[in-house]
Amino acid sequence: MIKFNNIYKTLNSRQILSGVNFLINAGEVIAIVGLSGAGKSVTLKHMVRLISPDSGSIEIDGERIDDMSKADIRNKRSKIGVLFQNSALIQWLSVYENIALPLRQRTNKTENEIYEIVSERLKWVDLFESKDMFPSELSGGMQKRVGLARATISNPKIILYDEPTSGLDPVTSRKIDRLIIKLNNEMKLTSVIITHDLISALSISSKIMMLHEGKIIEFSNPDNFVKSNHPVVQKFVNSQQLM
Amino acid sequence: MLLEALYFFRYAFSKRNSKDTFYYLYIVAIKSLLVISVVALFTGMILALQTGLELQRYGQQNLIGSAVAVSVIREMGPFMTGLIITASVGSAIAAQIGTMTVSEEVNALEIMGINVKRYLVMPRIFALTVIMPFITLYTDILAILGGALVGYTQLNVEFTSYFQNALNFTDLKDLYVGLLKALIFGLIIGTVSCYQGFSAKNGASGVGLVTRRAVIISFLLILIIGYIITRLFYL
Repeated sequence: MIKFNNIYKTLNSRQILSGVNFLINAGEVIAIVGLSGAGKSVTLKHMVRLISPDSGSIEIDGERIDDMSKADIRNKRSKIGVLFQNSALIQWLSVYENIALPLRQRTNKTENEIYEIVSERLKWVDLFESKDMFPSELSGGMQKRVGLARATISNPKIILYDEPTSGLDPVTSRKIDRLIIKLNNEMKLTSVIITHDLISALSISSKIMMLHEGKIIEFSNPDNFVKSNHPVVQKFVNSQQLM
Repeated sequence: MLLEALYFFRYAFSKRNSKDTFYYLYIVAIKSLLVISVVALFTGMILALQTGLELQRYGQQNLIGSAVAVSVIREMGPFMTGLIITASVGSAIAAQIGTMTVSEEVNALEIMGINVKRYLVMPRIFALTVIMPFITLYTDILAILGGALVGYTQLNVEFTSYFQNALNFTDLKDLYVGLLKALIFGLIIGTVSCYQGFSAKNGASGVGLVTRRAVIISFLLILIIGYIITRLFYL
């Protein structure tokens, strides 16, 4: 469960979030859409406290994270997986070592156990053959799949996706969409997807939230979202259909 | 950040960190050896030549052993080593961590619940702090040998006379103070480089900026702290 209570945030003298309130229940798959600068990524960063709110509170699974200690937030974060926009893979580590990193640094598992877990996850994202390659040798889609494998390696309860299909061609984007759906079905995760891609949002999520100028202007299921009367939502939906 | 890194020094050879620690020990010690060797040798040669030519006017060129040994062991050894390690290793650390910061790799590590101070900072500062005195000792030896070479070939100073003179005018305190400086310079280079790396923003230009800043700040601190240590021990 993710709960935002009246969150305000200003960055560089610009109001990014203005009283954001929402509740995401366990197991829900929510897409957050909006124009550039609407506050989507800032919202996501609040969920893992990479950014702290100026006012308001944030709860994850019933615990406030905005006033947690460093050690507690580190433990909390280990139950959350994040797929970053640029995948954020460690460039000097191979695909295998990138995925094994959280297990090596956070658990006392033996190398054999780590190999079993990582190999299984690599097969799941269809990258076992590429396990010895380095991130710079991979395509954008492959990097996203490695990022997804790493984000889920510690069996998180919540997974956050920051623009999972940005920079990818339509075919690869739909491949990533299918992988996310498969992941949600198999692991029953609470998922939050930040995206510009309405096709992706409609196919993956159970609800779509639209942010505009730091406020939520629509939060409904995909059918109602596309029928929304809000002019900004209509404009956003129409612009995507035109494409 | 330095205090946290110092706290994590006890994990330097733990199962989770030993690979990175050994890697950075290797990078600091081996990768910089060639440039350090050249600089050390020529520093000693230049010192010997400059002081030797002056002393030769008074027929005292036999004293170049002491001039070279004292200035190298007390000041030039740790100072030159600090500058070279700042330029070669410190700048690389600032650029690497800076790139990781702007490309969200540091955020990714934090979200994975990995302590970045332990994973990224500790092995680098540990390696620099541990290795700096050893490299400085190596620099001292090569510089003194360089001085001996110039003394023998250019100023007709016998090797035995050169080394005897060097030993007569230096004591263990000079060596200890020089190595203490090197150890502190290692801490400075590691801390400044890592700190600057984490403060990078605005993409590639931001990485360039923090790299330049890391080098300049390290240089200045090496000069200032070097002076303070000399004053503390010799005044």
